[in-house]
Amino acid sequence: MQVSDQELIDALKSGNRKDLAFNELVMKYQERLYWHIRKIVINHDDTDDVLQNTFMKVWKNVDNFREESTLFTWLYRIATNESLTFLNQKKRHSLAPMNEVSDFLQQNLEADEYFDGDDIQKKLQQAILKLPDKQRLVFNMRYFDEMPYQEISEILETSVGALKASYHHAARKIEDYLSSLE
Amino acid sequence: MNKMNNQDHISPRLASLKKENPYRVPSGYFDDFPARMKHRIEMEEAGESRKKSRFIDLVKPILGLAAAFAAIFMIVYWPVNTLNNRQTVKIETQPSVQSIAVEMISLFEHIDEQTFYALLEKEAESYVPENDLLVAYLAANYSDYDVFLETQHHN
Repeated sequence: MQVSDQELIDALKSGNRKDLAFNELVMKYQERLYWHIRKIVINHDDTDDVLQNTFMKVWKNVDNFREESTLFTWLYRIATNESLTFLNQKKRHSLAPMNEVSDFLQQNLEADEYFDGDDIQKKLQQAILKLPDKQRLVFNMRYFDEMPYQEISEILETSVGALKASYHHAARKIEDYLSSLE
Repeated sequence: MNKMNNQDHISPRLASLKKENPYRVPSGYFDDFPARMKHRIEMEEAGESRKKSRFIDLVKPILGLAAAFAAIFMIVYWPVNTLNNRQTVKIETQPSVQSIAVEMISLFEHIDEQTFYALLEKEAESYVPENDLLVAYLAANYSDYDVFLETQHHN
């Protein structure tokens, strides 16, 4: 039987059996957070680093979690921030001139040994990677994860209207890119 | 999914694509991850406690030096300082003797030489004034009334 989020939070905050509760939390959310991060940073090894950083942040800051949002939302928010921070650091420390984060991500996609998609899936991924960060996040969460706008709104702290507009722009750009390839 | 697509008015091309996840993970990745995460936490916490102990290790010699200086101060400086203070007290008494001498000299300066030697010779003797001095003293103590009686008597 899976432990509820509230039970996990209580156990993590009480300090008593924190290790066990944290292990439960990792097992419960590792896959969902991994795929969320993977769609942002693309490369598996980078995703592994960011996922570990995300859980380290959770371990260190769980006492400060005020429960104004759900545990799931809080975890996604940390994972998103860690992913974007990682990409910005990569951009800053890149030896080769990198005008856009998407250049780095395109390279990652080309070199990714854990990409099993067919040609059209690769083109779709290339189109997604050309999007600005925010539009890419919204598109992935909405299109692949089929997350409700309200939930995305809580994670990204953006209004539902703005998210809908972002998604609309992203879908149109992807459509245009795929059309240009034909 | 169709419901979501209808709500989002997604383009027909995107709607026709398979929504399969094109990425995969190394085999056993999610089985190993919780153990690796636990190890990472243990390593970081050990690192933090090492940092704390490293700080104490850095501070220890400084504290030792401070204690040594305090001990040296107590053993050497304090007794030396106390002795110096005593000497200062002694030195402070000397000016008071000197000031007395100065006062004496200033007193003797107002006495003429003869009186001074007379004082030295007749130190223990009682002082007997001469006749002239006595007459002068008595004359100085005459009142106007005495002088009037004297003149009346002579007349």
